[in-house]
Amino acid sequence: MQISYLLPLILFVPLFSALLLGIAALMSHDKEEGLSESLIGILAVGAPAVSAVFTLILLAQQLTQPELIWQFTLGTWIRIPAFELNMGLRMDHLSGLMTAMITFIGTLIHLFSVAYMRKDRGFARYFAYLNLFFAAMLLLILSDNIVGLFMGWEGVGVCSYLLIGFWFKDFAKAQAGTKAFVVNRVGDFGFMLGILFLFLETRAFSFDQIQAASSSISPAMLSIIGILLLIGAMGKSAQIPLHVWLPDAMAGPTPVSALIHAATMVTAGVYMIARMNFLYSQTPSVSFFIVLMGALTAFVAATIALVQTDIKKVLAYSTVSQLGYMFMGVGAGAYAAGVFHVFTHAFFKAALFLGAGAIIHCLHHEQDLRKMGGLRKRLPVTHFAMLVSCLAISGIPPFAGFFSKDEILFSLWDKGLYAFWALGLVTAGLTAFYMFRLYFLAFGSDYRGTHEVDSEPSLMKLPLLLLAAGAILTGFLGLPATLGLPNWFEHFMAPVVGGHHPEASVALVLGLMGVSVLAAVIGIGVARQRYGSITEAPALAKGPLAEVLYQKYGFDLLYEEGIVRPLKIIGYYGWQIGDRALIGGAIQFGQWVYKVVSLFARQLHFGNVRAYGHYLIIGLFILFYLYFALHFPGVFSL
Amino acid sequence: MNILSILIFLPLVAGVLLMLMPDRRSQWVKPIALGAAAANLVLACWTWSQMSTVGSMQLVSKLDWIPQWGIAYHIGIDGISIFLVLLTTLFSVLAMLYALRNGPEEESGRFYALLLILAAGMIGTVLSINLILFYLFWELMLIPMYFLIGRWGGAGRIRAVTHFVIYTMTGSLVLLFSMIYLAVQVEARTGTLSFDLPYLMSMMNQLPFDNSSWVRHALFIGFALAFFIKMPIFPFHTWLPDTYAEAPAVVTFMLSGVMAKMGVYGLLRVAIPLFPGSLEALIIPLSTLAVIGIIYGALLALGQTDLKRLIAYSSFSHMGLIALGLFSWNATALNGVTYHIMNHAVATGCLFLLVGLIEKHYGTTEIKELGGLAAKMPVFATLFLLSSFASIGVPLLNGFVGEFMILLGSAARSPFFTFLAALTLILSAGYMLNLIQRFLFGPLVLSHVPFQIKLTDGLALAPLCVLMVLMGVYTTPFIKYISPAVQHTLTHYQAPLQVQAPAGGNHG
Repeated sequence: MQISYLLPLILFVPLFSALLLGIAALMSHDKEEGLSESLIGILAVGAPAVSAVFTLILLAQQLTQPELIWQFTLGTWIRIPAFELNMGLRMDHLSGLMTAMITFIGTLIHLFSVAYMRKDRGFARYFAYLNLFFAAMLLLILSDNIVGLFMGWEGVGVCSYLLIGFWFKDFAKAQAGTKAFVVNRVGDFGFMLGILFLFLETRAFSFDQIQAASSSISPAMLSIIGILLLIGAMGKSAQIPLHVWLPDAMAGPTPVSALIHAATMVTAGVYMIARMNFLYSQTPSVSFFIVLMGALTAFVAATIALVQTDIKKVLAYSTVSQLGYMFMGVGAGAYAAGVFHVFTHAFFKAALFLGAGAIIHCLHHEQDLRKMGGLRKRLPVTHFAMLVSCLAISGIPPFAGFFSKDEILFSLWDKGLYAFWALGLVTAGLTAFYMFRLYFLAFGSDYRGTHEVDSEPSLMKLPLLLLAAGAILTGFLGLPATLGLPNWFEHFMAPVVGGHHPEASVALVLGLMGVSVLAAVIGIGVARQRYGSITEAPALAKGPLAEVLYQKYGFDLLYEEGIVRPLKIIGYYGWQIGDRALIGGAIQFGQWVYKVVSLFARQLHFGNVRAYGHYLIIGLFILFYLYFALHFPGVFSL
Repeated sequence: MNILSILIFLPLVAGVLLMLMPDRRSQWVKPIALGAAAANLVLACWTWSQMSTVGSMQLVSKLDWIPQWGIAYHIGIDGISIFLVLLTTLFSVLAMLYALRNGPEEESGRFYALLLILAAGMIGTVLSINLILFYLFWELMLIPMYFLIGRWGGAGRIRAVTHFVIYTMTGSLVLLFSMIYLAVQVEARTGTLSFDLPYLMSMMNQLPFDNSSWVRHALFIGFALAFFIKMPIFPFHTWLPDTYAEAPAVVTFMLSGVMAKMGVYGLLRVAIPLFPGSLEALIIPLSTLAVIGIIYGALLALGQTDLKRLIAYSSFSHMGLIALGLFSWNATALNGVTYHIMNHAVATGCLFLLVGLIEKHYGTTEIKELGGLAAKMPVFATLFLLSSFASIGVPLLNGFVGEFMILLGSAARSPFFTFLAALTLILSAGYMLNLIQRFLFGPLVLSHVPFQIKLTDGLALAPLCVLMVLMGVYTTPFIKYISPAVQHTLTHYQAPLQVQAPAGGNHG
């Protein structure tokens, strides 16, 4: 443990920048011209860049000292007799790597955004949200306790909500933001309960103390907590059945999709499971469930991606599918492999999204793959970056995705989860197919669209090239140890998630690799044969199976008709029936009884003075009786 | 004179003076009213600075009033009530600032006077230690409220306010009856007639009926009913939507922000400490009501088509969570309850003020007649979003702190009810974001002329927004006082409950 004052700055620099930009955005909303875009751009890009530099300084020292953990105490959040919750930051090897990745990719995406968002009315507002997101995301990663993680977790959800609905004048886009937040809240509901029960069992919030106390929790309780936390992870990382928000989230500006909905925020669920690895390694049944859900998600999302024609939707479903792989990895106990896939995926998926962004920018907001084609020559840098990334995600060696995906598939095999290994393999083939379908539709043959194609702005080229380099090179950080090669990534992560050294014969490992490469090559081959040289827009697939895929297996329909609408109807009629009829009726009944009683009482007062005189005398007798009965008991008991 | 007495009587005297002020002096009304409210806020802050962090009652003063009946002017303050006093005084100032521009034009003198008397009633309620005194101030709150709504409310104001007053009076009369019955019963055993709260608490075990007897439970209900209605707790809430919707924005602000909290305070200070055994015996039905309130209120909020009613139902739903925290009756939950009282006041109050601006400028609060306002009024939209996020418990805003502590405290008590209560995370996000989407986002529905938030309105809103962030990040200055007071409440009046370990009871 070593205190570092750079650590809080990593987080507070983007926060400060966000505040400044937010004020700038609010001040200039009714002016013709706000602050100049270059000034705002510098202020915006500067923040993650500074954070990235600070992170690298800290990370560099961790490289040489495997035991080094940076930490910084921010202060007490709540102190009551039952507990004391201190907020602190903590950068161990896992969070160090994540922070480095986030700040590095974030800086590139900021840079890209400056070109992408040019001349938008909300230029300053956009970067205010983006940097606020940064601060929240870094809090999520760097927090030393689970409540801080949850704060960042909700914070990124809010920023995601704001950014998905960034162009909120479009009702559908605002709605997509709402959907994302509410579905995420379903996950947060589980996460919150998980935190509460974890505290009741361990009396601790900080990860260190939880880890120390976790061994004394009963297995049943541990499983319940594991499932509750997992619900949170499934919401944030868009796993079935909580995946429905991510495809809709593509309504946001494309760089946002790259940063939040591909590279960083959606991987928070995987990060959380890796962070709580000490808990999940004690609950094999929950871990098996993670593998199951991950495999299901990977496969289902990949099949939906087969028929999508919107370039961003293909990428969105591919993200869901890849997140499924990461879940399979951490579920199989290969935490380092899962995080490794998070790491490589961040590079090539960010490159793919930014490439899509560049295409959309140059084609004047055209997103339909059927109206593209032939962009290879017109957008050469984008083409290069996307080709490399497509190869990486398909798992062709030596690109990054090959190493990380194979590591996960191998760990499934190694655990004896052959069925899931096979499903992962099939999914890998599907992935190669739909990614190269996208590639050939966008870049192959000739241009089919009507828009004029602009050239790529140079501000977009640099991030694309650097991310493409990441897509090529990051795989070499984690060469398969089973082949006797140095797996630097796993070695670096070992202090946090523990070592994981399966023994296997070289022949088996090479054989498995060969099979998965073969699956990828077949996928690419089929895509090339189908879409490689088409001259006109391909017809949509037909048949019952395709219909199921177009309907996305009916999840949206089910939720809308099965949950949202009934709740709204209950809300409306609950008001009419519950409040007005039942409770209001009961009150009305009370009034009615009162009126009826008074009607009878009124009959005694009909205005006859003689009758009133009788009442008086009767009353007097009663009073006398009471007086004697109380003060001279026995007078009447003769 | 005791500072607490000044806190009560300064607004009361100022209010009565304003009532008597001739019309031709009407230009003096606003400065005097605002000055009195501001002076009271300063006094409250000064009181806060004078307090120590011991849990017991401080600055106590006692004057005999009707000694043969045990009625005394007995007041004091502790770490829980100080924040209600601060809340009341702050809200009075903000309400008046807001009313400068958006309040009624005609007879404004009476309007401000009634606001001051209302504040006096609420501060008096919070500071009273004698039950009869408590009851007097409790009723004093109602009178200005009746006139404020009945005179300056919306079209359906008379019906709404009649409903409200009769409902509340019913609860109050049962409360008065229960107080007298309890005091007489204690007198029968001990020979002393007293309405002094600490005395009654210490004598509770002298009562002829034991902890499980139905008489005791009935008395508890008799005490609690008035507080249930004021909060309100399901199913005593039907006065709320109409009243909140018909009252002028300033009055709704005071009503939801402070007055509803008096119900919570009554339970926390009077009803439950007097009858801890009854709470224990009735915890399942009570918690059920609280949880029904949370879910039912949230669902009804989802079904509303009117801004004010939607926020009214959301306020009711949040009250369910506060009630659940109260019924959990452990240190964590009670800290959360006290904290959440303020959070709820700040966030819901801010929402009602903002909606009041909409109503003033556009003459409607129907959601479908509005829409797309964010494009034209980003400052307004930002404030509304901030308050909404605070209200639905987004971390680092104040709502989360209270929600977190309440859920944590209630989880120690009953995982089952906590599970149901935590559904509020989903439901509140659902109705609030659904509202924002229809109201602020989307295309512009009408050719609304955007309006600026003027200086005085900004001054009324800004402290609330600052508090939302400050109380979400930095809780120590509040918790430091609340926590010992909660501890004191628990240890002194909790004899029958101490047997139970905090993590023990599982009512699931």
